[in-house]
Formats: sequence, C-alpha cells, structure tokens
Amino acid sequence: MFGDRPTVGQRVLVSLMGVQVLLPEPFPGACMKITEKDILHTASLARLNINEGEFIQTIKDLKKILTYFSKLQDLDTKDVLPFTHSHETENRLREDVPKKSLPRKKILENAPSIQDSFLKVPKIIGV
Amino acid sequence: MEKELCQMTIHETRHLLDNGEICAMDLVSSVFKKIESLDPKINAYITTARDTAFKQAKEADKKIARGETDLLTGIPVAIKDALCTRDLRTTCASKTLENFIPPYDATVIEKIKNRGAVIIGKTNMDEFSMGSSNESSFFGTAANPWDMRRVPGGSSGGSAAATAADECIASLGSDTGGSIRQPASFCGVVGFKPTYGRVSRFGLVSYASSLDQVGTLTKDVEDAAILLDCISGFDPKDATSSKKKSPSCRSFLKKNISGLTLGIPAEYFPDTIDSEVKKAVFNAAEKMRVMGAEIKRISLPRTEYAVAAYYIIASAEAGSNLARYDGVKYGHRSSNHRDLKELYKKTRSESFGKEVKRRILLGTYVLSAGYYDDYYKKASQVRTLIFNDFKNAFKDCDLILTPTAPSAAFLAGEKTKDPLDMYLSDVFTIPASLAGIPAVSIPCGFTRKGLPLGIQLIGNSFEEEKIIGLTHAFEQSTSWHLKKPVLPD
Repeated sequence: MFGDRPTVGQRVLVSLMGVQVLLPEPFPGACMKITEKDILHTASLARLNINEGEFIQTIKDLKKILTYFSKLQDLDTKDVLPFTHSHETENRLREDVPKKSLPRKKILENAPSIQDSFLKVPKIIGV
Repeated sequence: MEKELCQMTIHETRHLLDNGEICAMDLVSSVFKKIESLDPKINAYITTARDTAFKQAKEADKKIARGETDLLTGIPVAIKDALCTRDLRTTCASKTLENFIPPYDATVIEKIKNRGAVIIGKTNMDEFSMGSSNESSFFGTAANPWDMRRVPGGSSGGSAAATAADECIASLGSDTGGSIRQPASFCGVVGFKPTYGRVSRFGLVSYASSLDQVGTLTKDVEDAAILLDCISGFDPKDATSSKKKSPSCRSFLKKNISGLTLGIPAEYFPDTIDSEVKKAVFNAAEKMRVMGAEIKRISLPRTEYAVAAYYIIASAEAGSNLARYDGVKYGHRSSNHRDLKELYKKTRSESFGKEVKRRILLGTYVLSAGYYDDYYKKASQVRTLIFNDFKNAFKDCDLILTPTAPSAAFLAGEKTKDPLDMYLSDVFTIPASLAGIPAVSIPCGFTRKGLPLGIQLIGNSFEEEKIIGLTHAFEQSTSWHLKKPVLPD
C-alpha cells in the first residue's frame, strides 16, 4: 500500500518546494504505526528533548493525528502532480551588485553570545 | 451615547481628520485609553508602543496641517506579533523570541508607515501562529470581547480581539490555514486573507511558507479595502510575491451585485456543524439572492481531505522553518549545556511550547525517508486535487459562500486536551489556504447566547475585488458589523 521504502542507511534526494534536500536516514522498521523508538529518533533529528512526563501523552497524540492523516490513502492520486505553486512563478535573477545591508552591530545586538564581531558557540573542533 | 473615537473605522476617522474635526493625537489618546482600561482583561497586546505611537501621531498632525494626507495618515493600527517591526519587540508569542528586537520592518509595515499609519503595538497570537484559539501563546491567552470566558480564535486572536474591543482602529494579521478568518468570525469583525502572492511575506515570521499570507482584520469591508490597497503589490524581497498588477479594492466598493453567481458547496454543511451557524449562512445566502445574486449548488468533492493534507504540509514546512531557532544567531539560548548539540537541544526544548514541539515532531516525521511518499508527497498531490476542485467550481460561479467555522467561539480550555479536535476547527478555512485563493470572513449574525457568527466568501485567484464588491453590498444592507460587545469601562 505504501510502496517501496528505502532501506536503513540509504539517503534520498528529493525536491522540496524547488530545493533539493537530502532526507534524514530512515528509521529501522519504518511503518505507519509510530513507536516510542521512532519518536525518540524523530525528536533527536529535530533537536528536541521530550521529557518523561510528556512522553506517553505525546505518543498518544501523535498516533491519533497520524491515523487521521492516513485517510489520504483513500484517494487515488496516481498520475497527479504534487502541488508546487498556486500562481505562475519564475526564478528571479538580479544584477550582482552590492547593495546596502543592515549594519553588523545592529544585527549582533540580538545574538545571545558574541566575541568581537563573531557569534560565539561552544567549542566544536577538537572536543 | 456619542461614539468614542476609538470605536470608529478607518474611513470615518479619515473623514474627521481631513475635515479638521479631530486630530491624530486625540485619536491615538482615545485608543490608548481603551487599551489601559480593557487590556488587563482581554490581553490582546503583547507589547504596546505608546511613546512612538504618540510621536507618529504628532507627525501625522503636522502632515495633515500641511495638506499632505495619505490613506492612513494618523490612523492607529495594531500589528500581529508575527510581523517584524523595526526597534519594536517581535516575539511571535514565543519564549524563543521573548527579547527579539528586529533590525528591520516587514514590507507591509514599511508600506503602512509610508501611508502614515500610527503603530499602536503588537498583538497576541498562538505561538508561531500554530493554533486556533490563542491558547498556545507564551504570554497567556487573549479573551474574546463578546464573552471573556471564550477564546478569540487563532492564531491572529489578539488582532481580532483588539479590533472588536476598539483597542485599535484596524489591524494586520496573518493567515496560514484560517488564522485571520476564524478569529474574525469568533470576534465579529471582517478578516481578509488575500491571494497567496498578492501581499509580501518579507518580514513575516515563517510558519508554513507555501501557505502563509498577510491580511487584514477590520471593523468593516470598506476598511478592509483601504488596508488591502495599502499592503498589496509586488516585492522583490519575497520570491513568491506576484508581479500581477493589483486593481484598487476601493474602486469595487458600492457595486451592484446583481448578476453575480454564488456557489454553495454541499460539503461545507456536514451534520456536525452547529445548527445556528447553518441557519445564519442560509439567511445570508437568501439576503444575497434578494439583492440580485444567483445562488447555485456546487460541489468541492475533496473537502474532507483538506485538514489532513494541510496539517502534513504545514507541519513539514514548520519543522523546516523553525530549524533556525538554535540559540546561536538570535533568540533564547539555554545556559545549561556542555557542547553544541546539547545547546541546540536544550535551547529548543526550553523555549518552544507544546503545540510548536508537536508540529516540529510531526513535520520531521512526515518528511523522513520512508514516510515521505505516504505523507508529504501524498498531501501535495491531494493539494493539487483540492486546487482543481476550486478551479472547476469557478467555471460555474463567481464566488463561493460557506460558514467560516463550524461553531461560534468555544470556551477556553475546551479543545486544548485534544489537538486533533482543535485542528478540525479549521475545516472550512483550510481548503482556500491550500489553493492559495482569497477569502474573507464577515459578520452574519449572532447565536442565542449573543456570540458573533461569520460567513466566508471565497474568490478565484487575484479576484479580491469581487469579494469586496459583494461583501460591501451585503454589509450595507445589514447591521451585524455595527454591533459592539458590552464591555466593562
């Protein structure tokens, strides 16, 4: 019913709103029934922690919503092109000339941590 | 009792300002007086901009004195807190952006400032526009001015409540799946979502980029036409904004509607819909028939699949759009972390609310390899079918008439326990969002409990003016939009 799935470890290039993106790796044992393991994996991909107190309710809610989503499988969409734009669009090109941009100082005012004119993050090389 | 200035519309105050009967300072004072007395109860605003608003009003008075009046000179406008305002905090009702001060204005803000608008403040909303009741706001929910125990709708609930309670003259909102129309219906005001691409999204905090559209919440249709004329038009900063020339919506006010064909889709009247809603919509249709419109039964057969397709697409885009909140460039950063990955995780987990996290999880899940075809691709194909349904329908009619929401405003807390139940409250507004076509909600009556009801008029792509023409004529022969909630002083 859901066609061939990529195997674990295989990554897929798809076009999302005109941009080529590399999808994250599939979960082991992908299926419509979302498991606790799937949720933890998804949360990790989305860089979110789910705290223990919320876990059971989160699974329950997601299962209910995903079951509702599966009603789309009733519709025959063979040969239907996925929707991209509601009106004519074209790629917009502009002259490659510098324009006035926002002042760096002003932009850095919103940064949580800076050093000189750089955004500061925890050490990422050699840890 | 004489009308207070803040109770008036854009066109009424424009007239008084231009005739020198009032000045912009009087008008802005009247609005702030209302905010001070009511907003502690309604919570329509997250941030008010009193000092700059009074400065802008003073400027406006000088301009009016010099005869340099424009459409919005001196008019107090409230802005949904999802639109970036230069040097004025923009939170999107999230802890993530609690202290974010944009260094630039959204294009629509620049446009209304250029027309002379006075920016009153930033209105409450569902966090990152994800919600249908305003209850997901980090700053607490806003109340419905018609019954404080009820929600104002969402996500532009603060803009709708502020407009209904006269805490502004008019307001801007944004609509992804009904976020302007549903709160307009719940609060008894006019909420207009233009065609996708007609109004620039530059500076609108992204939720679901293929659906998001900036629009207006106003006290009547004439004000919607004025405000739409001010914000529409091509913007090179938004790659999806259309180059199509926008005709003036104002020129379609006071039109004769005879000869217009109105389609009524059977699928928008399921058994689950409130009987008072159904009755009000049929009464409105009858009124329009008497005024000369032809009423036709039509079918939009894929309507029942719209909510599922929408929440897949919107969540997928949200999951992707909200990846930017990582605690590095701007926004909240967790102080408790050992390395970069933990900084990301803790920052995001601490600062996103429950509904936002749920949609990020859903979006990440439906886009993951192995699920992509079943969910995202399938939903995008269904979106094409829904678009085609509308395309076919508009061969037989000029406009489509439906209820805006299945019920009047619900009680706070009524739907927060079941997210799917909340999602289904957008069932009638979502299809037009998926198709990217314009739609408005206007007042059409009240329930026995005195809660406002709205009808939705959906038009074909870039045919806002037909909607304006019909709804203005309808409004001229009804008085629903003139009723005000009874509020404590």
